[in-house]
Amino acid sequence: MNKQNIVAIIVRTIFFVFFFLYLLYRANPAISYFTQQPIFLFDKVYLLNYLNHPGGVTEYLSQFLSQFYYFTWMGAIIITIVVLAVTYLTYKNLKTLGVKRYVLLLQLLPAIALVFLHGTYEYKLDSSLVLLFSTLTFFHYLRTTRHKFIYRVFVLILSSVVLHYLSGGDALLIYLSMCLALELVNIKDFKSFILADTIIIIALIIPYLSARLIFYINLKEAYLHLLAPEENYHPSHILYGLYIFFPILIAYTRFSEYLSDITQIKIIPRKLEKNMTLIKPETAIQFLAIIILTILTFTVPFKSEQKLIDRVKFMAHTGEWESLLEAVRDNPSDNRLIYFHRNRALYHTGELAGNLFKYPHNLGKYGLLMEGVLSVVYLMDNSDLYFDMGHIGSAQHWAYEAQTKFENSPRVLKRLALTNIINGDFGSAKSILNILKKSMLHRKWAEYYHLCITDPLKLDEDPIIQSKRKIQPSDDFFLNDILEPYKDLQFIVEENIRNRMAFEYLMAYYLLDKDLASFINYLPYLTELDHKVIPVNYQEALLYYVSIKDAKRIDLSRYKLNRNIVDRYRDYAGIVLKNNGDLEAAKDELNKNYSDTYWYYAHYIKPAINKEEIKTYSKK
Amino acid sequence: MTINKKYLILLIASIAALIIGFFRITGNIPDIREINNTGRAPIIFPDYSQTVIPPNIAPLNFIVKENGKKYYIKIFSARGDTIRIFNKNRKVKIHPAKWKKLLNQNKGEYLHFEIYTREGKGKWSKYELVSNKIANEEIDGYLVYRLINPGYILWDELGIYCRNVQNFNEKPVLVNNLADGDCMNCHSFCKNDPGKMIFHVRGDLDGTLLTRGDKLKKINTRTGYTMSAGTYPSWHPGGRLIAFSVNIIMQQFHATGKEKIEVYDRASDIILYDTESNIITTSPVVSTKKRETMPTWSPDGKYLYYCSAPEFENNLRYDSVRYDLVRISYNAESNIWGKPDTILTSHETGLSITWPRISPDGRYLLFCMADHGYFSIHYPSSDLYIMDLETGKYNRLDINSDHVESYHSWSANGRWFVFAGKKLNGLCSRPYFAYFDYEGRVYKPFILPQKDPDFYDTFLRNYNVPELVSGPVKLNKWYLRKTVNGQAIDAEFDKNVDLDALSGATRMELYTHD
Repeated sequence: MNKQNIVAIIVRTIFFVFFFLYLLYRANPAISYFTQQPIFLFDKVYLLNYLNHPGGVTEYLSQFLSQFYYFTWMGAIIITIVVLAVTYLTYKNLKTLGVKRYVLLLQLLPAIALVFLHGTYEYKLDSSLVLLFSTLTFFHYLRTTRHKFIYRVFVLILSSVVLHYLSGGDALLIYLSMCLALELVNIKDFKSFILADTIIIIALIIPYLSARLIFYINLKEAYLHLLAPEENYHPSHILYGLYIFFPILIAYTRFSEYLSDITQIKIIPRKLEKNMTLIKPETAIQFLAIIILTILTFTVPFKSEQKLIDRVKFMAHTGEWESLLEAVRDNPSDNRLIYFHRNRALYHTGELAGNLFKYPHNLGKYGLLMEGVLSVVYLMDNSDLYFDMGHIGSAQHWAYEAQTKFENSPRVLKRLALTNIINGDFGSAKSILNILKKSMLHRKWAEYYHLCITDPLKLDEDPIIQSKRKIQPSDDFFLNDILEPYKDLQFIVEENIRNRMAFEYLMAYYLLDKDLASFINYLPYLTELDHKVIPVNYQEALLYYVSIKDAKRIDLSRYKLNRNIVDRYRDYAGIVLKNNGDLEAAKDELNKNYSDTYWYYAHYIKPAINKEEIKTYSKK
Repeated sequence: MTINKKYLILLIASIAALIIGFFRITGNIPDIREINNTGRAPIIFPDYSQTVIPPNIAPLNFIVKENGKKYYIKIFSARGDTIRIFNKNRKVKIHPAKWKKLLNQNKGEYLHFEIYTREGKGKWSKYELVSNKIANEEIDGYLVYRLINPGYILWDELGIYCRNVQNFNEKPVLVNNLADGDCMNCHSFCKNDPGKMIFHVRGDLDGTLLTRGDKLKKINTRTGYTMSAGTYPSWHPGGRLIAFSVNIIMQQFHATGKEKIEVYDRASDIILYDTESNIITTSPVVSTKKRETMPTWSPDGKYLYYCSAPEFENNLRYDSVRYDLVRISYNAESNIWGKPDTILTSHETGLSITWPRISPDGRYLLFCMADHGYFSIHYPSSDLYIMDLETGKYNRLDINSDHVESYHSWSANGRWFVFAGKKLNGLCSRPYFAYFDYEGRVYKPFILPQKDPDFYDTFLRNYNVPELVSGPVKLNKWYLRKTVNGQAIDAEFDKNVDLDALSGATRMELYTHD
């Protein structure tokens, strides 16, 4: 083994060790698991759903593997192995093609791109597997170059058909573009032209025939498979780049000979040459490129807002409310989902009533409830909120809508199972639990709740079921959870004032909507809850209300206003008066000390939201 | 030629294994001399017991829900060979060819399942016979339905499928990934003829697909004079006209209770579409201020039956809206309507009438009644009723459960009907078949058999609008895809209709269109 090889092995090892650690400690496949919700069922119908279209087998394998993302370390191992395999095959292909220059960099470039892709939580393992299988198939095709023409055509057709079925149109596209690049850069005779033409014809015909005659798929699915964007799926540009990289790489093998001639021109003075024995310029360039690209790919994905949204959603799901608030504080964003979950975190940390205005509310009430929108992106977030609140009808409604889009998502199925059990719809719950029982990861959970259904004592002991049953509304009403969800909160509060979360959300809604009249109407309900003092924000709003309206008599005799808050309001009003009531003139001064108050919010924050986000739901 | 000894041994061993395996599967009969009689019927799923089955139905594969390590099942009838199944698991999968032969040999006879189970090395437990009667009359060979998840507003993958009920083959007629992801619904056939079919596509590719023989076209049944596109259809037996309701449909969701969703109309009328002239017509008598919907033709084509509820009022409670059953005479030659005649009132029944469907001989009317409304697939109170149109007497069928029994259709010979029921889990609708004898008696229904008897346990999609048809739907999927994705032909509104006389919701002034 020469020095170059040893260096390459060391670099590769270091790269993949870093890659693994990056996945383990920074990318966290558990968040990918949460975002993607893969499930693998030991079930024939489930299998048939994957066998009935091209690419389904790879998707099936991907579902099997990516369910283990649930455990961060297993996810990290799986991704590392897959990327390692892609790297190895790229290396073998380069070797077979006789490439000698920049081999280290070239073989690691796909891995670097995959680092980036796996660093984003939406990226599915399917695409990496597609890459793996197409490079593997190409590796075998490469071995036919010394065989007879007919044999090569036969192998080409057979491998294309098999690859298209197993991995889909995108795999075929990469494979055949690599084959085409190979043939084009090595054209020797007429047969080479025929072979190149054959490749093009195969690339056109196989997906077409599969869509037209065999499978119930459209042409976009037949030709592009995972490369085609869909409603809930938008492939990264890096993925497109990666797919293009491979045929370019093959074409490069031809030109690398010229490149090697150029790079062998001696530009280094002889005096220095002796010192360059260990690190050649080519090696240095490769090292540098690998390091820069790796650092970039390790860090860039974490700056995206989508990544923050996914992390926030994950933390909300796992109940890491303090961490969520910290993450949101460190990464200010006006994204609606981030506001939504931050407000959930405020409730769960006991700050919603008292410290609401310590946080920005640029979206106002739209950051509290997903009012006026029916988006695939928010379905389970809505369900989560209402589940927390014991508003089971709505939690279930959103979960059923989510199930249409994410049919076997464990998160959705578990929510449906629980809400059905809470509602006493055991038949429905059983069917859903039966699905989860076929998943090795969720079997225990499902068996436990199956036991709850059959054993009333067990059911009575379950804290989740019982706590929700206690606070869920008992009287029926029509849900307003799409257009005017606050109306549901009114119903719930009026029926059961002990539903603290519904009450605090309703009050926060009125405050954020600057609807003081409604706020004051519901304020007396406070006496029914266990608040020892009136929450700070409520006191602020009360003072404001009293100062601008003819005070309606409100019986809050149990409570006293906090002296400090009264003084603060006096000071606040004083500053406004000092500026002759000109709020604009007083803004800067008030912003220094009172930006965390309801008064400041009421005067200065004009919630702005993208109209697209609040538009009434579309036909779909 | 020389053969490597190792390979020769391997070859012989594998052939021997195959032969042994073959006989184990087909011919192994356990020794069941020592029997413990349980004195009760076994629990099997699906419940294929004491029912009447068609002689051309697919094997009724089932699960024995009794404890055991070994299962032995004998399936036999008056004539022919007994089918013997020896299993180490509870799933009983019957050989299709043997099943078919047995059923064909025994039309009109009883079919028995004799079930034995055994725990470990103890005695075999024998259960009472499970018996079903094989009818003389076949059921239409194919069932067309839509499969969709139980969501209410959104959808993703859905499709209309055609299942051969004589075996387990299911083929998509059209799946919505070939239709830009749009919704598809309300498929309907003319007299169980798969060659005369319509269904709607709703979404960006909006339109009604109409096939008559080899011809396929896409129609836009929205006109400036109708409140919506044609919704709930019924083919005139002549095959030329289709009656539709036009509806302004609303939906709201319940916060609690067994009913999850309320689907109701703010307005509805009835229109007729002429498939040959492409003209939509109506009449003031079926386009009143009342809500007319769910049309269905009598088999002779002389009467149109429909449901009718009072005009929508904002203050009226949703659960107080009940539909009456009305019929009106119609002359297809002259396009002359008679006068509406109320057949059964909700006042009399205390319930709301929906989905009227008349038996092919014209004698019986099968319909649903629920506490209120007409969209009965969401109402657990929805039950099936039968009315003798000669006497006007009606009765609730014994086959109803506490869950939904809803959408139904007759087989062409009138001896069978299929309906959508949710009694398995209260969540997803499943197709059930019931035998209807010459005296108008209905027998215990059975669920559409599946190859894997576990199938319904985990299948979370609804079987919507089960329609029996006499043959497979032979539409070329690519042709269908092309037509669905193509431009719809606008239907014309009949110029002879007296618009001013349309006192109902049909008048364009009352509604704006999207």
